[in-house]
Amino acid sequence: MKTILLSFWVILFSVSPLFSQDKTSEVRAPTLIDIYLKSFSGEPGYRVSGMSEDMLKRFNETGMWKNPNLARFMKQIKLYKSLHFQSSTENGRQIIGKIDAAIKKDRLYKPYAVLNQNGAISDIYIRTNGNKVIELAYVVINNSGIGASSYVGDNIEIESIRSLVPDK
Amino acid sequence: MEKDNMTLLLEKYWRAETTIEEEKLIKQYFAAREQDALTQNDHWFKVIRDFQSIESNVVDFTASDPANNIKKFNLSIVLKIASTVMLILGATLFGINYHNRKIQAEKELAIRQEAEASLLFISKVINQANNDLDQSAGYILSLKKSNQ
Repeated sequence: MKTILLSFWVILFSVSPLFSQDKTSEVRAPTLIDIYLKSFSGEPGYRVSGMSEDMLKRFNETGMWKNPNLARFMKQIKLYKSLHFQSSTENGRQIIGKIDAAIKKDRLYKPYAVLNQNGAISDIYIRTNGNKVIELAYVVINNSGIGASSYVGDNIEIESIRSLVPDK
Repeated sequence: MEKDNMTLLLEKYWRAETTIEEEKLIKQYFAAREQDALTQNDHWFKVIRDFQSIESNVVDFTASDPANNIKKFNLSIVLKIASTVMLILGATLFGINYHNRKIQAEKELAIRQEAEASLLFISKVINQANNDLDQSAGYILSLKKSNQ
């Protein structure tokens, strides 16, 4: 009987800390996804996911990133968000056109690079605070729909990203 | 003659002076006279026989303290049930937690892979854009040189 009771308490106390939540992350400014793409939440397959500062910190500390250059870059990131929803190519082009026009009008973000390759249009935007890049956003439209990613930090080195893929 | 002997034996019996062998003789005598009219002695020995037949079915009763017995029974059962319930509950909580953590780990892996893939695309786009820019600059320079 004592053994049973003892084993129960061991299990109970080993389980309780596992249910505890991470501390709340610092509240940051809304990302490009929040500002320009949240309104499409009714679109089919709409999905938003992300990584909080605590989660990113944990990944960095436990060496979860395979590529060392990528690991170096991710140490600068405090918040990551991604979005995806299904859309036809034509509808997607219209949506991207509207978003691009709104971004240029608001001047919150600056277009950094654009690539139109094999029917996929990729736009990269940056948000700055003085001479520091505080957000790097990527919007793409391809056959499966529209996707967007946003990397938020205090001072992101954009050029360090170039080393992730060998330059041809 | 036999009756006289038996009368003597019976008188001896009531004086409690018979031996075991003599008592067996008395018993055999009355057993043989089942069908005859029963005398007072016959009645007595019939009662003894009946009592002996009942004796084999006697049930032993042992006196016990009912209150104390119930208390012991309840405490034992309650403890057993409680410990079993607690063990099952603990194991269930552990199982749910393990399952949730497994799902969480899978979600985290998926989002990590998504973030990595996205960064690789960004890297590719920036490199491509830079290469295109370099090519354009080279083309403009060559045009300028040819014009000069």
